[in-house]
Amino acid sequence: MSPRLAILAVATLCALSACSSPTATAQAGAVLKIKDPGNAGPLAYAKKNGILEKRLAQVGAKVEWGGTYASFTATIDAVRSGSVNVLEGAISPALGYLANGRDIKIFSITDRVVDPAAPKTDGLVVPADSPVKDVKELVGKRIAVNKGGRGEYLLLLALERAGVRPDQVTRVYLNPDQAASAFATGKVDAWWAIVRAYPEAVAKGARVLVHSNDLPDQDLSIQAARVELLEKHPEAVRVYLDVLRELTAQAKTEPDAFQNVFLAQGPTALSGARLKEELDKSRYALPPRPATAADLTYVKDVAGVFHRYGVLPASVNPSDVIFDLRASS
Amino acid sequence: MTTLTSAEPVTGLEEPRFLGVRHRPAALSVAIRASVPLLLLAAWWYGSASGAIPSDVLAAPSQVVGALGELAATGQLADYLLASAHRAGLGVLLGGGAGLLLGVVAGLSALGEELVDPTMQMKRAVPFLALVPLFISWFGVEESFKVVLIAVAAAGPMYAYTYLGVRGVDRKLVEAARGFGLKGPRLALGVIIPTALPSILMALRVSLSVALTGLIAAEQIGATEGIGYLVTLAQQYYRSDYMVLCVVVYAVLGLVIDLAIRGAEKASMPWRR
Repeated sequence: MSPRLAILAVATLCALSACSSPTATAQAGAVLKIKDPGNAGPLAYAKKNGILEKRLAQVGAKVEWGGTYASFTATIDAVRSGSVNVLEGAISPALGYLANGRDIKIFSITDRVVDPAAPKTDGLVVPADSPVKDVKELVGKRIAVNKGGRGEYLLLLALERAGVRPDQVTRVYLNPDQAASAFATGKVDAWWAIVRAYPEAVAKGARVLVHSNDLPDQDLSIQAARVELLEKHPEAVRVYLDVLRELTAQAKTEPDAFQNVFLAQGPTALSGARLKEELDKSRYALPPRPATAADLTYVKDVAGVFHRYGVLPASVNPSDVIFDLRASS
Repeated sequence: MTTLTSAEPVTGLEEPRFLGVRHRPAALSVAIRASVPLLLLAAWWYGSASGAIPSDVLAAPSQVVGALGELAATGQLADYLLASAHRAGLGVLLGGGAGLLLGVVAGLSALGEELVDPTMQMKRAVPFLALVPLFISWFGVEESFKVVLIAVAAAGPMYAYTYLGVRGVDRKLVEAARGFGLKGPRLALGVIIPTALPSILMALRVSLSVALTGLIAAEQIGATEGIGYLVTLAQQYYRSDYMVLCVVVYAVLGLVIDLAIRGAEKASMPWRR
């Protein structure tokens, strides 16, 4: 009869010890909490080689590598709970968060690559056999986009330019991974594929109607951080940005070191044409730069498009969202 | 009323049909059990090989085996299984333990039922996935969040089946045990739980499968290993071979859980055949 009691005792012990989360560290230095960088890119390279750890130690700061999140929205939950305090993204998805909270600010912007030889990073795709040849012909069609994110922003821009009212098409809100299967099986007529989804869609024969390069795209990649980290430890965030800039520059000359960083095989490993494409992207990538007050234009423009078409109920006050690292002591 | 006429000779008497479970030879039973899954496997293999199933709809078995090979070669498969087993085990231990305790309390005493049952029924109606955002703000996104989510998911079925099982215990048996002076924890552990054991093991079976669902939800958030994390990775990197591999891993885990519980049933209830 005692085994069951023993199990309960063990369970209680676990509740008290193993499962209780470590609370905030008592040290005064900054701790940069970054989500898992995956298997490619400057941050993955930095994690593997301990570069951030080394450089941050010089200003008395540390780095904590966290887990992966299925979407930007999930990452935002982690930011809200304080498990992540520095994150990469784009202006568009961050706006939804900035509209509801004041706890993150944008401290860095990555300018758009304008070199026409650089690989395209996104596009409005239709199936190869689709009769649609132009954005105008999308009237009455179902188009997959990620809600309140880059896909929706670019679709609104493209429709605006083509003179199509957004209510003349059906926007189907799907995350990129869900949209990929809906698009492959013909459940949506078109899809604004972004980031990893775009080369996958093109590789499977999708036809591109328009790229973001063809539009007045103001939705730039950003780095954002929680406000208390920026205000108390701007020096640590500066080191982070410096490291990122150096590694982006290094990746231009030796891109191979920045792909398949941890694993050469498995779901995250790339090979063949996809690997070549990512190597090309690294060669053309521009380093992130500190954000300045002038960058408010970008935020205002993207927020304006979202506000005009009712994507964001509240308008964002752009002056709350930029943090100038150089202005802070 | 009928009367027996003994003058007639007794002819054409039939032995009544055997009503119990007929035991087939073990080999035949295993073959029949395996036939449907094997048939599905063969259809999958043939469909992929003949081109009837395009590989972006369903990856071919060879691709899935390749993915399994890669994952095993890098040592991730073992790491992922261990990480998930740790989370699920801890979650089921905590949640299942609480569910068991509450189920016994509610099943044994009227007061307990009145105090516990309404809340547990309400809790059961709340899909645990709806609690994810709340739990993130309470527990963060680290291990404790994941374990708590699985524990909450596992507590529901454990409570419900235990409660039913305890309610179903023969009152006469309880009276008899009381007559021998058993009461309190000794009554619960010595008489009631062993008698309700079939229900409790059923509860364990359901709790473990719910824990697998919980793993997918929990490991989408802030994880770097685990089989739920593998599902997320497969989606994020558009690897249909790994998506199918995840399905296969889950199917195998389901099988393993079933076998384990069957083993536990045999070992813990020798009086049941």
